[in-house]
Amino acid sequence: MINSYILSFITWLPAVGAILILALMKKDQSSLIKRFATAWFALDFVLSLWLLKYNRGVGGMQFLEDHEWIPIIGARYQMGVDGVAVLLIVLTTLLGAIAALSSWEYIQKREKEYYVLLLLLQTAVIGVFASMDLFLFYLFFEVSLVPMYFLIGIWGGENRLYAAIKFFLYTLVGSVVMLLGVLKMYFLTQDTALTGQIAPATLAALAGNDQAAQLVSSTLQAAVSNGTGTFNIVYMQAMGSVLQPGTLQVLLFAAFALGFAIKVPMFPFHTWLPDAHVEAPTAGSVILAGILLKLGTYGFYRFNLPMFPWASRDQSYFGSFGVRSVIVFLAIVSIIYGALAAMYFVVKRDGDVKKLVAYSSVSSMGMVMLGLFALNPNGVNGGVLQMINHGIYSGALFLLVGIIYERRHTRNVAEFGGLSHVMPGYAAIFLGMVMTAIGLPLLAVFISEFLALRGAFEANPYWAAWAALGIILNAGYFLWLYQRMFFGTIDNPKNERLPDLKVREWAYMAPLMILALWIGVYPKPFLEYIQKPVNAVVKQVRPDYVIPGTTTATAQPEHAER
Amino acid sequence: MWVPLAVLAVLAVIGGLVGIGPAFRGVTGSEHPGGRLHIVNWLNPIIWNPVTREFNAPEGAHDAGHEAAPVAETAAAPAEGAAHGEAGASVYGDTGFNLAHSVESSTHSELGTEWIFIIISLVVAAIGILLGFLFYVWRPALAGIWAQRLRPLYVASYNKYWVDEFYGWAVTRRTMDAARAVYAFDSKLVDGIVNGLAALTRLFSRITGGVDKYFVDGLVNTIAAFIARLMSPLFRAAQTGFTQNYALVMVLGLMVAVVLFFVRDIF
Repeated sequence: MINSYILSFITWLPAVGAILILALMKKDQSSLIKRFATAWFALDFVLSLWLLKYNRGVGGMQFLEDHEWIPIIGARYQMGVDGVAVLLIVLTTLLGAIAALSSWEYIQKREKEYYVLLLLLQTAVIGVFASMDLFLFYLFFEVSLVPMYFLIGIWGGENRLYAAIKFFLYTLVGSVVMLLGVLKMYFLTQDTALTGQIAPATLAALAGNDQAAQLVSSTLQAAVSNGTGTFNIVYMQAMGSVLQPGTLQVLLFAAFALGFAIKVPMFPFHTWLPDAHVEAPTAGSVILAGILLKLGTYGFYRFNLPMFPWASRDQSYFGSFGVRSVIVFLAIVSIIYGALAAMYFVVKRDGDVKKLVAYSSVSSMGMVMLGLFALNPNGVNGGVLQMINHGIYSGALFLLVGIIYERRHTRNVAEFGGLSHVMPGYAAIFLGMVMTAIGLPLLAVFISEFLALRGAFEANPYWAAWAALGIILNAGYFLWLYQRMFFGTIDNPKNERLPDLKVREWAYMAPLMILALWIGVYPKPFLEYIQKPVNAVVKQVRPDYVIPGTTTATAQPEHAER
Repeated sequence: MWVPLAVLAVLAVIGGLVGIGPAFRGVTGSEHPGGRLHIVNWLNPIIWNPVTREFNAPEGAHDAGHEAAPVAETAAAPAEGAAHGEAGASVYGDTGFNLAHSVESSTHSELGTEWIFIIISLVVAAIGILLGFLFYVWRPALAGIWAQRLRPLYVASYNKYWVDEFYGWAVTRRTMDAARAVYAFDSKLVDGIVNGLAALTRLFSRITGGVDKYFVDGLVNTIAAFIARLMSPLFRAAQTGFTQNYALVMVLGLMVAVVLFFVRDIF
């Protein structure tokens, strides 16, 4: 029973909190607002833990909801999550609570608006992961940009206005191009010649379980009887199996891919990231790096791979290379380019730590993309898990940078040095997170990077070789940064009396460290959530790939009755 | 400092005794006085045999190379030319040159092969130890003398063949250069394109604004002025100020309206 509205609850609860703050609290009650907002975020996190009851054995879309919304275009308010979305939603709510907790002393002016915007952003982002209707997805996708724009533009650093508008317009351009693809897909759902070829088995495999398949068919029937198309994501994924290979599929792939590639961000569409991350306030950076980047890769996983399977695996459309080759090339370039650019900030005597962490995100997300486009279970599992892990460690690193910024009001590496003598607790957590970022075994990122590389190796050993170079570079600059910041003697007198982590700061760093250790030591529960959905996607993209542990279905597909 | 080394030496001796082979079967009488090293087979379940195309090496695979007839447990049939056959043959197919196999096929004696290897390694170790004693215990001056005589070699060895310095120059410094280059490329070129597009958009916006203000709006204003110039004398003439004129125009208008009303009925 609860399952039929828990997703809406989790999605809209932060918005309700925002309204409560706006309506009931006055702007000088900053202490009340802070505590209320943090408690509200924590409440949302606790609620989202219910989603962990996702049935891993069955897989598919669960916690389904379906209501009428805009009948004239066939857009319904449909929510549903698979294992990947469950993990992402729990990560989102956790990072939201942590971000709110970390802002208590960072934000000194206009707290009311700040927490309201943070709550609205949370609603938008959870909605993106939870929606099962493409129109709803797009709506939440766009809405998430607005609070972020304000967060950067009002509470950000020196160059905040430039960074905010750059972030907003750049990602908007991508989304608008994606809208073209969305519209075309919608019109294709009304093309009965095409949709008549969809096999019920495909639909069932993508929906994952009977309930979801039932929901999709009833949605379709409603759409047909109303004479409209449908925006149901699972249905569109099933349509992907019958889309003609060729220019149309490539163009549709490119339209969706542009929108998501800018958000991921992939080289060469990444330049909004350093500015946005550096200029955003700490909590803004945490949400930006920890979650907003995942919207892009989630989009690739949810839309590009299943909806355009031929395009995703194509390696010959442009002659000697194809769509997949382009994406993998950009992914590998992102990995190495991001790592080298990040290294610049330790090569430079007075580099900005936050920019280093920002560029390291480019590198990590390149690894996610490589894993996804390895198009085998190992790779896609690795890519998806890397999404989660990157959210954890990147959020943690930005929080740590925020902590030192609050104390010293500088992010210049040259200003630090020998910090481990005065702030041993901070140094310890920073070390833990640096090791996570590097991919040290027993910590989270090792599992996901290994899986992604294993998958990439299977696809093409050269891809894995180049990506491994990126891992080495990552280790290089992170270790160097750590040495410059924490080891050695304290040269700068301003560093001599810095307080170590307070209780509040421990409270929000500890969960991330524990998670990083947990996933690194015992990733099985996390992998179990994502295994079945990932297998379904791999099956859709490469029907003749034998996934170990599953049976290959040999049933003759019957044509769906219309 | 010597204590850890001593501990390690003792442990090395013990470790060496573990798994010691049939060469010493006289000591305890059994085939394997040092025990069977089952750990060498521990990873078998994940080692893929391309010949039999399955995991798990055949039983006793590791011994198949050394022990021929006496050991009857070799269950699997390796590819042609087992233990004492052609060089390189093993249960894993052709694994290339194997010194132990080739020595064994020349001496035709397993025990002999073992003893040959034992003797060789002992001799090498003894030479090293004796040299060490010679240079640093019996004739300490020798070290300095030879260092002088072979000065270039000595300097190279002292500087560890400059490997670290070379690595620093070739790899570390070049990577740092690459980092600088990448960042410059990113902030000037890639970001420059983005900012250039922004500047282009602003330029288009100014052009459009100019076109709108001077051309489109100008057209509107010109037409308005033209109409005003045309019509204003007429309108001015109609404003006589004479009420009777206004009443006349009203009645005429009313008459026209009534006529039109009836005329419409006929049509």
